[in-house]
Amino acid sequence: MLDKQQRATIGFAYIIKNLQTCSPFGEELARHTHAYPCGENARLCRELENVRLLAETIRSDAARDALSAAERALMQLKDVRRSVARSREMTLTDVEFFEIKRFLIKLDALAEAFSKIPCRERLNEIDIHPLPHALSIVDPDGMRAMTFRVSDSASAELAGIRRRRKRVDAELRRDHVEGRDALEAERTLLAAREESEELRIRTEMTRAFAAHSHEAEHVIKSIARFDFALAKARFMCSRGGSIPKVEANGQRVLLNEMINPQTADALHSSGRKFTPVSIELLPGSTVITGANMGGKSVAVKTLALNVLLALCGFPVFCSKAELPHFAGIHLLCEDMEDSLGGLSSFGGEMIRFDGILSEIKTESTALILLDEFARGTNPHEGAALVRAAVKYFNDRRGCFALITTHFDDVACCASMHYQVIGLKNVEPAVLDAALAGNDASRASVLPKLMDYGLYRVAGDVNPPRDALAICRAMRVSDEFMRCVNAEETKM
Amino acid sequence: MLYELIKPYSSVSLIGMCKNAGKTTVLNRLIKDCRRMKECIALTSIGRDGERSDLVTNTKKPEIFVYDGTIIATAEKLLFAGGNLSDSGNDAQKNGMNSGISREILDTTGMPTPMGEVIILRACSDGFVQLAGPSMTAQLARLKKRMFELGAAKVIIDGALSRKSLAMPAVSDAAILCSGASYSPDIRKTVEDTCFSAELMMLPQTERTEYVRQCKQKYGVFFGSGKHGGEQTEFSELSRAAELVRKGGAEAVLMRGGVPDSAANALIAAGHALNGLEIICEDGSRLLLSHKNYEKLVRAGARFTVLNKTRLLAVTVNPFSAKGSHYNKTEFYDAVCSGLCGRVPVLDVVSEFGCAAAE
Repeated sequence: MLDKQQRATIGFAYIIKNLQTCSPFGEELARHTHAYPCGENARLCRELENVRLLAETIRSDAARDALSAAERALMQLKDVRRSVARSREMTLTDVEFFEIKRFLIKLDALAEAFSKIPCRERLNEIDIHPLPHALSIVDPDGMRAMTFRVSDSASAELAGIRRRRKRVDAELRRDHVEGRDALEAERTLLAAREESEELRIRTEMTRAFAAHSHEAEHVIKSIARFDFALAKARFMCSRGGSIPKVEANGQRVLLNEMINPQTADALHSSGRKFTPVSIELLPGSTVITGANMGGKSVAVKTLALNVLLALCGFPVFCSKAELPHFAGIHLLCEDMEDSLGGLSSFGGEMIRFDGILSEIKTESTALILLDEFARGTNPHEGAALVRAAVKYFNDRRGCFALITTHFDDVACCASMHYQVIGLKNVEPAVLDAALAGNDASRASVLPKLMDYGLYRVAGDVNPPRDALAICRAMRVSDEFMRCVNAEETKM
Repeated sequence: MLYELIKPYSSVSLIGMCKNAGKTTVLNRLIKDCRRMKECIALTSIGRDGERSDLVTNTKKPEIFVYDGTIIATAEKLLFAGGNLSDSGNDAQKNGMNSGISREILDTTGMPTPMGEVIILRACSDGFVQLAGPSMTAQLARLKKRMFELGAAKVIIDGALSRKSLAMPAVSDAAILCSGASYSPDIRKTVEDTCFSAELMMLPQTERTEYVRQCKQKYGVFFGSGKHGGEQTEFSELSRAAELVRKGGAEAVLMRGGVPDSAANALIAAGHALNGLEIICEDGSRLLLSHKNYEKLVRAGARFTVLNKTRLLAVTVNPFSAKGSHYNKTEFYDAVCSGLCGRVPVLDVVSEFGCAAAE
């Protein structure tokens, strides 16, 4: 469901990068985020419900202390999964016991904080509880010290060896001691005996701990899910967003006031604002037409981002979102053609398109996004290709296609047609006045006047003719524009 | 006692002129002295050290002996090699192994080495250890901080093999330079190079720190009085800085990063006297000049200063060579003493030369 490059293009990788998980377990889940297969709609909905509950808790501010205590505890956890798994196979070293002990002590703090989160019992598949029996194995004296040493109390033999060793050490520390060689030999022997007795005890401890290893792994999985869901909820609370409704047999895609955080942040840094875009798709093909520079491609990517987020169990950046549980999302846009080296842009596009056609054969529901499909060839044949695509997806069950184009006579075949508002509502006088500025301001004026919103139009409305107007607005060389004017009169 | 020398400093590194320069003997002596003074010390190394036989020259060498309570940071795999490679006491004896320590694990650091992660532990008995700490300066700084948190009063770093391999002031407050007969069969060469290394480690701190801080480029040339500002010109290339210096009138030149022989040549090429020109480098370890070129610059009238001064506490000498060509211990000791003109204590910790004076 979208490759790495596509995920970066639509701004999905940006979301993952900005997600602040606290533990190595949550971080791993975030790194390997994948869409839930459409057979697992119930699991996806449970995950979304967890995020909703946690976001509600964050917003209510009722459990602020418990949440931040939980996050602090999560941050202190180190990954002990390898040692836990190894306990079933071989004797753990004292370094491994140290890490397990530290984990179990920190787990106590985490479980304590977790128990104060009001929604904890409604969270699905998240159960964080302490493991007192496992802890008593690695900390038999109950000191809860954040260090590890096989305890003297583990065996009388060990305690005896250590006592004797202390005496030999003290003896040898004196400057003049009789029988130094014999004492040194005894020390070496005692060191070896201590090591082997420790090994015997560690073997026993490992066996006892292994009996709790599955439970420990279960708790770790819970911690990972909790950390990941909490990070998503935090992100949603800080960036705005909502929980999408993903239905197994949904019959429409409805995304109100969509935002693309990556693009929004980039615009923000240049002093501009992202215009939220609303769109509804029904089964079959939907076409977007409209002015160049009008944000059609951004709309397509924003749609792809929000649908992918929903299918991965994330909140979406929309005021309201409903969609079917797609088995596949397919995106064909300009930014991606360089990777098929050697082929012309048209050739590359057709190879990818063919790939999409064969993939959707196996998918029950698919979202197909084509940005200016077939733009690399002549308008006559290009328009025929786009019309064919629109009709093809109209006739396939379970296909939701969104196609942007500049070609005429395409939208009439689609089930829905949107147009970018663009410069439609700008008075010509305002436009002229705004563009009277110097060269440097030209490029920045258009985006300020442009309305990136979409509105629905009838199918038989052809794309607006504003490419030339935009060229004029951008004041492309006067000499050249005179040639353009001459050509225009012939049209 | 060596302790008196290191007493004022919270971290000390040992730097060897070569393998088998007697670093471990000096370290063991320091550990013993600190124990007598009941000071809790922490040990680590830059990279690996403390093996039973030298990995490079395969010669038998002393091991690091620590006492109950010492904090040690070393690689995980070496924890199990301190003398307890085998689980059976009989085997350990048969193989002539020395006793490892009984230990308590205090922390793991996440810092990788070829021998596994660096682990911090506390010795719960006396015994032998092998050290392999992190090899990156930033990690070492973090490790040091953690060991102080865990209760160490002093950190001793079994340092790099060459003065050139590490920016020393960044790692420790003070250093001890260890030299020995293994450096070269020619005693004169060993003495000369040892004294030169010591000289570089004793370079004075520049008084132009303020001006240098304002200089953003790698090279800077300073005119006018150091204390009253004056003209200042910055360059990213040495050749352009050297050109300006050769025109005369410059009071100081700053050279950030390593200062190789080519830098000396660029300055000398003019052929005229350098008239007390101050050459400022980051620290002594960045001067990669050969002794000959250094002398040439000094004779031409240049003087060297550093931005970060290393405190050289002592130079230790070891007349025994791992390669067999031992020196006469008195001759070696005296030669190093006269080469350093009494500017820094010279010690032979085995023969106790100079040790009484150091107290």
